[in-house]
Amino acid sequence: MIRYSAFFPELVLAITAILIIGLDLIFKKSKTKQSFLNWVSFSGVLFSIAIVCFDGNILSTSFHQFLVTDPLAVFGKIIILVSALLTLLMTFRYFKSNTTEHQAEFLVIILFATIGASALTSAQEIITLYVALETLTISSYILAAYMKRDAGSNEAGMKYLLLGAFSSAVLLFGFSYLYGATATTNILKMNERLMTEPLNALIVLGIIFVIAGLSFKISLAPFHMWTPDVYEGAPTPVTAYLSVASKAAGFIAFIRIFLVALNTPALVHIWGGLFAVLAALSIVIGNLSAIPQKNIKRMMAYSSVAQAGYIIIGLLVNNQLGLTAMLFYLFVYLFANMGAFLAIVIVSSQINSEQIDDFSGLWKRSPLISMALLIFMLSLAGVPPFAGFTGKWYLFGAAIQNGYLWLGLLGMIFSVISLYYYLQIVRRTLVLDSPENKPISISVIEKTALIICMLVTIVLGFYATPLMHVIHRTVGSFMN
Amino acid sequence: MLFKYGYVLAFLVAGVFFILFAFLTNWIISPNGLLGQKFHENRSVDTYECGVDTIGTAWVRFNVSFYLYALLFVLFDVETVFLYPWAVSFRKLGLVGFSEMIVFIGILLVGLAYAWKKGVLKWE
Amino acid sequence: MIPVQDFLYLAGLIFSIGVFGVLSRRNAISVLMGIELMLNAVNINLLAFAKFWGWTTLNGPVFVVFIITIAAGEAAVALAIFISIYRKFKDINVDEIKYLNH
Repeated sequence: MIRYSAFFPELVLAITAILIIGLDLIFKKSKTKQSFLNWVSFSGVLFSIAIVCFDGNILSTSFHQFLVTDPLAVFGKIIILVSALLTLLMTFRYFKSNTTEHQAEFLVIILFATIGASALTSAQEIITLYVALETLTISSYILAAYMKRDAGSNEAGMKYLLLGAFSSAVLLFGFSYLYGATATTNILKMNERLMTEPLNALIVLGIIFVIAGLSFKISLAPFHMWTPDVYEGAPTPVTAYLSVASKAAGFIAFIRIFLVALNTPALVHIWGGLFAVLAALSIVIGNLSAIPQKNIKRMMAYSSVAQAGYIIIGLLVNNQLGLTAMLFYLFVYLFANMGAFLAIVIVSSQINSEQIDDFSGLWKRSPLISMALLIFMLSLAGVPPFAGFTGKWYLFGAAIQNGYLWLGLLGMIFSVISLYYYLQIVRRTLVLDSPENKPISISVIEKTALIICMLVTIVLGFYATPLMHVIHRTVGSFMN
Repeated sequence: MLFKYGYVLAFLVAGVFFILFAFLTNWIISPNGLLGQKFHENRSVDTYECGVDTIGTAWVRFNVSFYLYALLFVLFDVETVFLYPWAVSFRKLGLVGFSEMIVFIGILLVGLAYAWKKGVLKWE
Repeated sequence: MIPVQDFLYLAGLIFSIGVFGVLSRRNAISVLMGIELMLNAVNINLLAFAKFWGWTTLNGPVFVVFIITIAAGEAAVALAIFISIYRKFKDINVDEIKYLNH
């Protein structure tokens, strides 16, 4: 018996997307139509979140074990859908200043990308995982190249496409070897077979290819070359989406493949060491390259490389503590990074610039946004009262407890270094002055979203018990 | 028994003969052959284009309108690969499989309708 | 009966040719062709392994079907982006397209 309800969140998104295409074709172009379509997409995502939250069939598989609905999938879906919601908000603002005649399709492609990311979190089979991943990435290529009159967007799209397709092919080659070694594509069965199978060259090669391919998707150094160019060139809402939703989906895929399928004592030695090197490289390269950047999106790109390095620490220690830290940090990162990008979109669409220098004197023009930027930047850097600090505390603690003392110390040192470039933005917004004094306008719903992101970032720094409770339950159902 | 093989042999001989005959007549009437006139102009090595002089090279750029057709063709053409395994096990899948394929084709149709309405299929 | 290793050698060779194409070619279309070669190497691998396990698992062939269709979709998106790039830059040489911060 096939339980179709496992696919309901994605189904709702798909129906919303097709509805928007249909409505866009039927009705004439007008301002009311566009705002109506905006709200259709927004409520579609909201409805999907509601379905995810109230689905009672936790811990069940469907479609012949191609999809699984477990607490991890629910957690991942919530992160992805919330970031899709915030991306839609940014899109509405972004298209007020950057016009294109195909605005409805942009919403549709964001929804398609979200379907892919959302299905990826519940993928229990390598085939589902690949199809969902490609749904996400192919949509992302289109989104990155969407502003076709803008040279930067075109370049971003092409670079992302060529490197993304290359990494997918590498990933698939690894999958084909793993399939050859185990004769199955089911993640659980693969783990059973690998437990008894002696280590051979096929498996080791497969693991190396899979690590290389997947690391591209979450931009771990040294596979991060595409990140700065794509993040800078892509439309800002897309940059935000890539840095949170697409990465969160990638991390869930990492968890499914490495903590489930490849989690045997012999194999952990191989990928644990490799990931430690990748994490250290990402932290060092990401933080050091972010310092000289002039463009705020490019800076955020390098910052996200470093953040990916921090998060992967939770994976490589391979125990409950690490996974807890990883999920907590992902949740914190969602609100801090999405909030920061929301503030950036609102400001840069009105000052028509993405240079950090042009953010000077923001304090006079919009106190709320400057305050928000301050909080998000401090949280990303990991300064004590905010949630980012708690997250990093857990991550580095997990590393140090499990024999990766050097990695924990490296993370701490480079967190301090990262404070420099995060505070550059804060210094400009709060301290420096600018000749311009025109206030920055902000709509009610944007204000609400910003305040929610700020509240979450502050409150989770002091009082994380309810979230930790949920995460403990998620992790407990997953690892024992 | 032997008669049957003789049949095959006869066919073989006839087949070989036909091929040789074709080559032979070709050689006889060809420009450099037995009966043909001897041409040594440049035109005799030209591409044959219905007797008309060739114009330009074959390496021309095609109109960019072809590209959208090609794109659509590739997409819809490759999607049919799913129909083959479905058709083979059609009876086994029953009504559920049938309705799922209808949904799949329906989604493809939405794509086609989109392309149609956007004027991709119109030749300009 | 061809042993499974021969298929793997062939796939490895095709994959390497694809990687070499991606890394050495500067024309975006040639790079895309390299990527398609890599995907086809994966398909050969999957089918060879399915044959090696005596067709007891059909997930490999099913995977191949999905890879073929997704590769077609990817190529379509790629060509669309290349056309857009060509209109903007009058070139699809990946080295020449340097608008962003360098």
